[in-house]
Amino acid sequence: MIKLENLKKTYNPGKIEVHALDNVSINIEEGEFLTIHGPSGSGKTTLLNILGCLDIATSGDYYFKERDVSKLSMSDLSNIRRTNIGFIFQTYNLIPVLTAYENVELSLMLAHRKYKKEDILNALDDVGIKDLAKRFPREMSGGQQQRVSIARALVKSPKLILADEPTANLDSENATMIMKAMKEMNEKYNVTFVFSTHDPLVMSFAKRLIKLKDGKIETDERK
Amino acid sequence: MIKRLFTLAFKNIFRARNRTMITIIAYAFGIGLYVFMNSLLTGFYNTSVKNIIDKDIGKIKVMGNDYNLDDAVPLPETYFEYTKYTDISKQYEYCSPDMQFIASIITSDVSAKTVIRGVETDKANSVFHYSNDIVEGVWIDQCNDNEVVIGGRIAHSLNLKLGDVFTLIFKNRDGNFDAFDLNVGGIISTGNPNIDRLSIFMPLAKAQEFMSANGLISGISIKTKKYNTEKIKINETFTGVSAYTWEDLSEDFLNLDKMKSGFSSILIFMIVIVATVGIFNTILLGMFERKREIGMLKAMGMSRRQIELLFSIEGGIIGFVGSVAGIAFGFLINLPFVIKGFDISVYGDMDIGYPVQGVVKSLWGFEFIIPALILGVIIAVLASYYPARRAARLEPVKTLRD
Ligand SMILES: Nc1ncnc2c1ncn2[C@@H]1O[C@H](COP(=O)(O)OP(=O)(O)OP(=O)(O)O)[C@@H](O)[C@H]1O
Ligand SMILES: [Mg+2]
Repeated sequence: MIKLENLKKTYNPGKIEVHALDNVSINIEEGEFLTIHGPSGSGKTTLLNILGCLDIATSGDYYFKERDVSKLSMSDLSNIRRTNIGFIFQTYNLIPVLTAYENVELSLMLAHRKYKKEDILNALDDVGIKDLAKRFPREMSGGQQQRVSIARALVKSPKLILADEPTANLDSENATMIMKAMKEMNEKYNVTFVFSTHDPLVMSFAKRLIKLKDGKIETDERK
Repeated sequence: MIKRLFTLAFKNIFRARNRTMITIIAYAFGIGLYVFMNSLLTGFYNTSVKNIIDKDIGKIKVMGNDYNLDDAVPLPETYFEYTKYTDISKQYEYCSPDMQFIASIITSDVSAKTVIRGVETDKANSVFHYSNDIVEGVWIDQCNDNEVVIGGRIAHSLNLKLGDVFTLIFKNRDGNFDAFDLNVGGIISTGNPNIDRLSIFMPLAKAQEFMSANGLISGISIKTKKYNTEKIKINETFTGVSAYTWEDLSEDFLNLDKMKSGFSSILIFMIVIVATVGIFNTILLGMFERKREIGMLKAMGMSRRQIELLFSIEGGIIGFVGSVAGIAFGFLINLPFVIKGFDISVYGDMDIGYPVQGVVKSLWGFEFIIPALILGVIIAVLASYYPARRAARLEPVKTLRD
């Protein structure tokens, strides 16, 4: 589903160049559950941003479902994100003025999906927080907020979910719950998950582990 | 989606409640003053125009050919034949001839400048309804031989009562000075300072006799619709006379009104600028505080246009609420001036440039509601354009990293 070939991302070209990604080539199949780990500054977030069409590589090729992403316009990229990609962040990034229900609903609206109320409640149910539908983010714990953000990412049934250190702000109990929920979704809907993480707990759930160092792939192993 | 943007915008503006409230109040103040100033100034303008047309000039005034627009009172050299009136009055139902000249009024201790208006009692009444404005005594049709009607403010300032005697001194058409003793037979109060502060009414025949100008008049006041075309018609049809519209003869007032409106628009403009800066600031701060959220919305596929729209709607809502509140506020401060009016007599007989006197009523100002709303919303949307654009151009990669 995803093919990266000799991907490079260079910040400050011409000045003090930072090679955040250096000749990265990866294939990712549908339904994979993979983690990218490595030391701080090794390029994990940079890679996820490029995978998520939020950022563009300096050189190399990126094919998303056979489409050459480097040739797409801003609005095409926005379209891919809207319909095919869900994001989960370390800081949840829920819209504070919207309830859990409305946060999830907004994701569907932006994706131009037709939906029923049950679709949203089911998505919340999938991550075990159906009864918090009417709560605002400030009225929920970090773990609960992160589950809303998972429901928000999943509800539009995207092909790919990108999670940048999703457990970094959670205790291990909550982190385990979140990971279990995502693993379940991965198995239930065959959605592809890519994590960036430092957390051994996250890695323990992964079927494939990629280690980055200085923007290069150091190891790529499957369990 | 647009509906969702509206609800989202609505929720967003109440996040920084105090900031939004202050902005709305500032905006309401600006819009309120706009409504109030316009209502009051239009009230002054309308009253002035009514005073000019209904009490002084009419819609058209026909003058002698030699009449000079700079002269407030026509000079005796410009008088023309009464027969012109007989001809012109065949065409117009409301038509009144007069003879005006300058005279000094003298009582035992003071003197003042006045304008004598010799008129045909019933004709002047049909055009100007002067008999309705008599506050004491009678209109000239019921005065006896040496009685005249004097303006209320003259009576006041010279302390003249009904029946009192005074002397008029003037230069007649032959260039000789003449003096006559007259009695106050009536006191008139029209609201037009030109009349109330300056004029003394007497029958046309008497004025002609005083001026030794038998068979002559100085002007003809006409009330008619479409006065601009009628003016042209008169000028084409009749020789020896020239027709002027009330506007031609009120240039000073009209210029002054333009200047005052201009001045008040500048004032209002400045207030609006301040309010606009408030909205600009509110939206810009909102953008800075919500960078991360904007990044998330963009990551979720919200387009630049939608982000721009979201912030513009937020500005628009603030503008709309501010305008509605401002219109209410404007109406409120305007209310006493509509009901009781604005009493300019507290300034004495000071000339404020508008031909008005006593109590002037402000307009309700309903006609300013729609412009104030449109203006208020458009300015607010424009003021939020720059912050909205900046928000739309934020790069999610950067904002999500912070
Ligand atoms: N906008 C930028 N301009 C310049 N350099 C940048 C920029 N963004 C990232 N970098 C650099 O690129 C490299 C990779 O950064 P990245 O955020 O991808 O690392 P990471 O693996 O996600 O680190 P962490 O584990 O701390 O989140 C770092 O050296 C970082 O300093
Ligand atoms: Mg990172």
